[in-house]
Amino acid sequence: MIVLQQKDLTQILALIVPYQKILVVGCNGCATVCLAGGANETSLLAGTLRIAAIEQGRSLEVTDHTVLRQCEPEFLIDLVVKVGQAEAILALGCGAGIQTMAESWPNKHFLPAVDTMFIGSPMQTEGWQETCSACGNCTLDQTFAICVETRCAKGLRNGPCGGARDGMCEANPQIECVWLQVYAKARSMGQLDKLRRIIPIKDWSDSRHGGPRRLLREEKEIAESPE
Amino acid sequence: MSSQMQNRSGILFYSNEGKPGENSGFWDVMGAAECEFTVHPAVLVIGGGEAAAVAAKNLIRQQPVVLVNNGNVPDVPEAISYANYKVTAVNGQAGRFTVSLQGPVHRLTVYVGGIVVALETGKAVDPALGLPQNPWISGLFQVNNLSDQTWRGRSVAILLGRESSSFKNTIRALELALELREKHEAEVEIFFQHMQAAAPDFEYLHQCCRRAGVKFHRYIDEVKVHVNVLGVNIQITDPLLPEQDAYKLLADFLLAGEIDVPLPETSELNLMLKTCIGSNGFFKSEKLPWPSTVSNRIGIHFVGDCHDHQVDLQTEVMVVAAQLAHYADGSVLLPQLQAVVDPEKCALCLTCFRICRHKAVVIDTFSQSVQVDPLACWACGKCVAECPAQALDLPLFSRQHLAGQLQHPGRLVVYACANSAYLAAEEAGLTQEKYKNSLSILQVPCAGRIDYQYIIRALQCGASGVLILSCPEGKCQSGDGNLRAAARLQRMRHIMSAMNMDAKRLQSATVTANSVPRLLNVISRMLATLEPTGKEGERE
Repeated sequence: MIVLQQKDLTQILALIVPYQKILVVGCNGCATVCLAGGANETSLLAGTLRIAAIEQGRSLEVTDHTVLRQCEPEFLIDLVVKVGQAEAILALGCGAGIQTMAESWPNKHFLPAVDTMFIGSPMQTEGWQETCSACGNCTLDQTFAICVETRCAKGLRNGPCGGARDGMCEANPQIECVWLQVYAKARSMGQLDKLRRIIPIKDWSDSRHGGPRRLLREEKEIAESPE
Repeated sequence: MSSQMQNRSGILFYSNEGKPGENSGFWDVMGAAECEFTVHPAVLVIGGGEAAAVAAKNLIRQQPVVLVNNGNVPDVPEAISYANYKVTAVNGQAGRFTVSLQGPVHRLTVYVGGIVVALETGKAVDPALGLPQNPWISGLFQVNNLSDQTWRGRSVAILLGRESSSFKNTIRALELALELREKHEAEVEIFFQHMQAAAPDFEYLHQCCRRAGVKFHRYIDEVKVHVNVLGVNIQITDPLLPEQDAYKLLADFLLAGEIDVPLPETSELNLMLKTCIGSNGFFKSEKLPWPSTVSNRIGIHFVGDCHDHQVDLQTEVMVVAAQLAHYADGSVLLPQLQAVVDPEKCALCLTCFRICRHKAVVIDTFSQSVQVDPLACWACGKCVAECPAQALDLPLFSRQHLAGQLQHPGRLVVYACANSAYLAAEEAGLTQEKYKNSLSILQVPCAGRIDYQYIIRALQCGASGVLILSCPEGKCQSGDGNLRAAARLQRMRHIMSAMNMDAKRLQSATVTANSVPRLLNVISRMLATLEPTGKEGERE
């Protein structure tokens, strides 16, 4: 899941200064699941902006709407009327969602109200942690299904580095040393010998070095191609 | 005409349709539509002791009873008994539990409406006394055979600690002492911190002991016990003697007070039942409603020694029987107060599933959605407030309902938990019409229902301040509804500070149902901060 974090309210208030008619758009996908941009947060933000406008004595028209997924143009049809009436759209979706919407309405201002943080999974306590960096070449099989590139502060492919203290990372004492976790898992599965061999260098050519990646599925076109 | 209804704790109450205000403290359920549910009439009683026997004998009068225990089961005619059967899985919700049992040979499944946990407890020598393991030292209840010649003329010490000077231990100690003294002419000395024998018969027993020559010693802090070849040495500091003159005794036997310990299967059963266990290892029942046999889940009850907050067995069993009686007909008529999921909006984030203390949220993997079981839901509304997709709603506390209530709010909008603060506010008379310009007291099923919309709406509709009154920490029936409300209020205060608004306009306080003075104090102080010149005279 893509994990988002709402921007500070002062930042959002600064973003909307030039506009009088604002549409706040939430997303019922990842943004909802990570509690940053669902219907609840959308109506909270809209309500907050309305109160802020009353307090500041300025005229501000705020409407809000939550779509099923911002990143699919088909789900944006509900927004047509509301976007037409708004001067700017404050979007509570990931970067992909906001860009998809912006492409649908090229003449409108789209403002991000959330920061897209990472691809992650829920932790035991309330919160999420980054578990995948979308490198394009998954080698989880070599490290007992724990992504060391993402979760090791040094990105070590062969670890541990030896700097861990009490199981915590020396670069960031707030996070556990992921290589110790790999070791513990290997040990509990009785496969410590798997860690003896050197894991070869990874092919990073699939990652983000040649600009944005595209995925073309020749055998299965996702939509009917225009004639 | 009266209709039968069930409140959140499972107790039946009756309300007259002509007088909607009669059930003050409970919500006005008259507006809610009713729905009938089919349930299993039988009740499963787990346990083999006295508690299970009493529970089964009482329940069998109204509905079928299935008795299950890991060992022997009490003999209750007409009840279906499974001795030496173990509970291996509990699925389903109130009214519709499916319980798997594993016997010595067979495996079987029973379908029951309610579950009564009536496990016995084990006994262990009070660990606070710090006694060594020794054949000369044993627990009060481990001594069975008093006719043995070993006791004759011996010196016996009986030691009761702080925890182990309970009623049962004291009586046992006095009875044993009297018998040892009179029949076996043993020298008996009782060491205690305080004794509980506050009843005429027991006082008589105490006097008999004294007359027979049993010696009583009260000690203050600790007792030193060590064992050597001669016997058990006991040393105490007597409160009446100077400190250096510690009292010493060399006894042949030491009988120590015992405390109840939970049976080993308690924790296993707790995991299957999805109930709570306290720090002492016993089942944790809800303190309210008193007398408490209610677990965090509707349909699961505790009786006897296996849970905390216990009262006497007969009362507990009567309460349980009253609460389970509505399953006896095989169908239950419920007003629709419970949370409802809108599957179209649900994003399956599982927030509700994770936070529901009453385990009423079910993941339906077949339809790929979550559902709230209407029979298991306490209708606290915690999930409604937390749902990021606003896919949940409480019929009587919906967003439209709130908008209606807030059409003409007073200067201060008070959201009061129906379990505590609203009762106090009603008692104080603050809900009366005459205060409506300064105060709007709105009832919420639990402070956990108060989401951001409640706060924002109130401010938007012109209230100068919002006050959230919840139960004290650790006393919320829904676990952490009060804490969640406080956390949301804190976030709203940050937001208001960012907007250069006075964050003091939002405040929260904890109030219990009987603390009317505190409630008045909190509200008058809040009103004073809202408008320093204040119209204090409006309230008494």
